[in-house]
Amino acid sequence: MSTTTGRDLIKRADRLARELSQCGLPTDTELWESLDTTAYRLLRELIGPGRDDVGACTRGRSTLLRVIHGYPTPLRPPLDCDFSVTAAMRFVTISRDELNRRIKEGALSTRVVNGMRRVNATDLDGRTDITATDAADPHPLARLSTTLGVLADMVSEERRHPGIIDGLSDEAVRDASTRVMTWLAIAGRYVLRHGPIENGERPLAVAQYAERSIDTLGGTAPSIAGPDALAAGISTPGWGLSEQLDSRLLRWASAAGEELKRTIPSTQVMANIASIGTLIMATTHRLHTLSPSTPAEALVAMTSDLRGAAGALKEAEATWNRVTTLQPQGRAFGAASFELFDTLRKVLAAPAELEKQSRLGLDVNESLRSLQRPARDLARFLEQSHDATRACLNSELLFAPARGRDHSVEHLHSRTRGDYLPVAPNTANDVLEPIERAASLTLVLTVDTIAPGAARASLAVGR
Amino acid sequence: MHPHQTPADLIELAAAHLRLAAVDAARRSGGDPFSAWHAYTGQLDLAAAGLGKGPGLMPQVDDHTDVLTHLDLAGRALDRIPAGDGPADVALWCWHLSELQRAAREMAGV
Repeated sequence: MSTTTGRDLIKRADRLARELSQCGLPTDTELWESLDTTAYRLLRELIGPGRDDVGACTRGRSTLLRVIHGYPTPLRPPLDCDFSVTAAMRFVTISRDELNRRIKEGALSTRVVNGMRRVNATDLDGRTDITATDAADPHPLARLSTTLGVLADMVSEERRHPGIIDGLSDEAVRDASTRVMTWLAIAGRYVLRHGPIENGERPLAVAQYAERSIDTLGGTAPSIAGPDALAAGISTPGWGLSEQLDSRLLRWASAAGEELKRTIPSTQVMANIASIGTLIMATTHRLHTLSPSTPAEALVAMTSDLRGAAGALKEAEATWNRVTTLQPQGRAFGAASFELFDTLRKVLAAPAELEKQSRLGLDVNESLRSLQRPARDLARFLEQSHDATRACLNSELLFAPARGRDHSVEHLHSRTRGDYLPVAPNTANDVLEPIERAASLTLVLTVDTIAPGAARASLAVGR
Repeated sequence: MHPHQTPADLIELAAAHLRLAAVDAARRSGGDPFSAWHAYTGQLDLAAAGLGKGPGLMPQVDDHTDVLTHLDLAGRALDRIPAGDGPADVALWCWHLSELQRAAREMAGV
């Protein structure tokens, strides 16, 4: 007789999630919704005792509860329990006033337990059409969903069996929850790539929530403020290239802003912001060459200005790559940056023929308008990054690999060990000058430069 | 997984391949900041920094290994980490590497 353990199931799910990276099979909304519902059920089971916020006795557990309760409005509630009216709000898309009204009018029944009104979970379930995945379905997404379902059943059984002491430590639950978030992020991304685009909002919202949750559970994110706000303010994936560009620019700006709010931001993030900046300049240039609204005589000066700014951004990026604050970057930023890169490069390669642009869903002038605000954001980010870099330098919190230092005896051991040493204050100018130049050149590329029909970039750009 | 290679070693190896892939991507950009390959280098640098925590192992590869091969080798290094072992987000890094590979293939026209 063989026994399947929870660990076996976690390994199997991990293997299936990796398989998705190499799989190109199409999928559908039904499969996604089943996985979405099952993964949420598993997360709820993992919380175990205290699923209704009771038992948040440790910091780790409290973080875990907040992450799981921040899940974008679950498609179905866990069906074997009841909720307070406040907790019931997590499972409905109506306002609290509307929920109270329905309760008052008897449209939603409640019962009083210990003087508190409770709502039965089944009365909140509006998606009884979502069912468990067919266990015989060979699609890796279906197999992943089935595996998560079995794991949820196993955890549920273990946690509810009379006489069994809850054997899952907070650390084990955190690790398992992080894995579930990882699988969810991959599944969401997979559905966005291989599923119906018109139903892409939900997988995107869940994938983004999961990515941010991994950061939070891993302890790299500064706060948990993200999940709830993210679910509410999610941008849609968009059908055409212009819509996609618009939503990805917004998301990138939001993620970059969050990263720079950290007490000590990551230099890798600052370098990447500059890197994306070069692509924004290149894409702006490309769109202006395609735009009938841009006068040909303006294009020459504009090219020089945009190239000047891109060159300065490249130098700033190289500078940030030579130093480090030894701080990690958030996964949500990495995902937002890659998505924006992937869209910008497609716009950069856009064909000149109007018919082909139309097929891609590219509206040149609309995309130029979309780039106006991020261009201002970029200038602001560079200014913030400059200030953060200077502050780190002054506080001796900016480091460089010892192998780049001289071969003096003083640095010999550090070089051998591969240490990082604080950047000497007398080299501050070498670090700050390229960054200042990039910040300054980007700042003067005002809205007028980016907008359709812009006459030219600011004259100050060439200085 | 080689008996002497821990998941941490394999992660550092993958990160090292990403750094080497970035070197080839930078070469492909020809130093032009308007080149998509230049911004792609930034993506590889970011991924390498997110994945690896230190200078890492240097992969045994010939000098002419290109960006796609390095990405493939990085993916293989991660695949050698047994499922369920290592950090919880290894599978997500595998996905991200496949996305980086897709973008590189499309840009290279292969």
